[in-house]
Amino acid sequence: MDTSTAVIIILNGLFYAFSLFLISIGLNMLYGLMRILNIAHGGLYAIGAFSTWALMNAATKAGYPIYVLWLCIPAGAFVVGLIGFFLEPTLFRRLYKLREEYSLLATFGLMLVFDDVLRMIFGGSPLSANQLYNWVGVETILGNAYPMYNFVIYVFAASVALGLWAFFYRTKMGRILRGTAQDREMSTCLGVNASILYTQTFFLTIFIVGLGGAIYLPATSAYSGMGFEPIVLSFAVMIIGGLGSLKGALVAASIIGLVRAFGIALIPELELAVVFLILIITLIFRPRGLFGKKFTREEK
Amino acid sequence: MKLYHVVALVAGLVLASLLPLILPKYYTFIFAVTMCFAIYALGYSIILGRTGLLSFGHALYLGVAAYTVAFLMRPEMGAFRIFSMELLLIIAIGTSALVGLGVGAICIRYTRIFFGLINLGFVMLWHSLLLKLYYVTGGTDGLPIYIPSLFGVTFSHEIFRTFIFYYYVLGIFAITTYIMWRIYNSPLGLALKAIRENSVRAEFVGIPIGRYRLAAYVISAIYAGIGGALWAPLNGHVSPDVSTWLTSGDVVLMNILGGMYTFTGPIVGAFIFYNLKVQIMHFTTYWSFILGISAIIFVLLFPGGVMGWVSKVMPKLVKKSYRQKA
Repeated sequence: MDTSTAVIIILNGLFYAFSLFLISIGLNMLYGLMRILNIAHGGLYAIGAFSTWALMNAATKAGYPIYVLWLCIPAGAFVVGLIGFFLEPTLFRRLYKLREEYSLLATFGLMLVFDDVLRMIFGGSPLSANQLYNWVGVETILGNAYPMYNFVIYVFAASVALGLWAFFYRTKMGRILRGTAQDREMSTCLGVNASILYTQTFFLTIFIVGLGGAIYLPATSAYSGMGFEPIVLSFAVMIIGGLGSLKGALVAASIIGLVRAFGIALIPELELAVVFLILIITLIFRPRGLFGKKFTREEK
Repeated sequence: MKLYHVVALVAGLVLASLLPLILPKYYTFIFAVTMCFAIYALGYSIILGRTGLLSFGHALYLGVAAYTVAFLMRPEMGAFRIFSMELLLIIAIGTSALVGLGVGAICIRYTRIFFGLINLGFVMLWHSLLLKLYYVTGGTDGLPIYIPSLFGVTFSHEIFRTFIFYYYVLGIFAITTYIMWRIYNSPLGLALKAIRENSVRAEFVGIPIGRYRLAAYVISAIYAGIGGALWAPLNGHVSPDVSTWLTSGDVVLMNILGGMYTFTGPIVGAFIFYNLKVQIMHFTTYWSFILGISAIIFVLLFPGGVMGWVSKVMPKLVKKSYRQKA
């Protein structure tokens, strides 16, 4: 393998990694704060993609200029937020009190519902909206053609990561959030309104994942069942990176993305198996993940 | 066991053995498949309901057993090709127990979502191997499964699937249920309950929680193996779709639906789940929509499941009728 191919593989790996990062960071925050492993997050990612497709399709048919399509991306994420607006008081608020196993099953059920509703509305065939992708165009990198839209995604994901870091470590609310994740009882004693904080966090995470689904749409496509595969890999990212760690999510997502990209290029037979092997090996030798905190006895 | 338990059991067995004579052939087949899943769900209940560990990967053992049967029946096996169902069952139990012991030894070091996710990791590892090593496993096409012989007798295709194998599965179902009943009421079963309620205290009492959890895990793996080995010839074909985290979710739902803290719950859950699935699939493809909605409803409104609800409501009803008499 020469350098230019390696560069392309690395770029592809990062392209894949950032989608996992955008999903798993939300999972991580939800689990860290409320102890909910939200399987339906994959479904929300899919909804972000599908609603953006619907908007872009409508905008193109109505003959709007191309820059309007850029607005479809946040609008698609807004649709996801709207769904969360209905789901949060009806479903998720009840789950906060339940045991982990039960909330896991409820979100699993929700994921199945999301997938089928999307199939009912949009049908089973993949839908693509690559107007923006084509508009941004293709450039040559070290002798290989590479789509420039991917760089939009890199910049976006990097700014999400930076923004979240600033939010967590440089704002008051971020500090409150971290504190509540560490010790819920103590922070409520200090006057933190936990239920409002939960609602805010919930919306933040689903907005991020909705944006993720939306921004990936022009480069990929929306298809039924698209939420299932990334959600499993996002669990892997969450575990490998360590629960409650932003840095861990970024690093683990990059590891999995790169391993998959190189796996597809070098050993296509084992590309998926290697990812799960990494997950298992991490859990065996370092159950708290790369950047996770140590467990207390009760948590074990 | 009280007298009415025995009466109900005998009545149930007699009724179940009369079913193929009354019902259309199609339903005999469906009920045979249901019983395979009931064995699987019953085995799973010892790890979820009894020990309190949620695994999102028990379809691994279903797949291991089904593929063991498929491999042993392949023409490539030459002189070692096995068609005897009893032998296949024993070997399938052996492989799933071995895999369960190995995987379980790693998994039981964790609880809560870590336990669930490491199991998920193993089932997806197995799934991706089945999928990608297509020159051995047939890839997405899977492998065919031929009609095995029962006690040395080979039956025709139709009689096997719609009549005789039903009784075979019924027999094994009865035996496995009885064994599980004994396990539940053995010191092991009670110790597992103690571990579920409070593992720290259980450890202080002197229960070796690691070993007991492993025992429960291997038992559940064996039951899943029996279910898988029996299901494979009924289905006539195995594909990697048997073992994914989604099919592992099915068995969790069976347990929740039926009531995971009751003994009969998983069996009832498997019956409701599979028959509902078959019936709903007749008129709509949106089965998982209905499944998802019912999962949410059960978790929020009936966390005890059907049998949990029955066992809560029935005594009240009985008492009421007594009171009315008085």
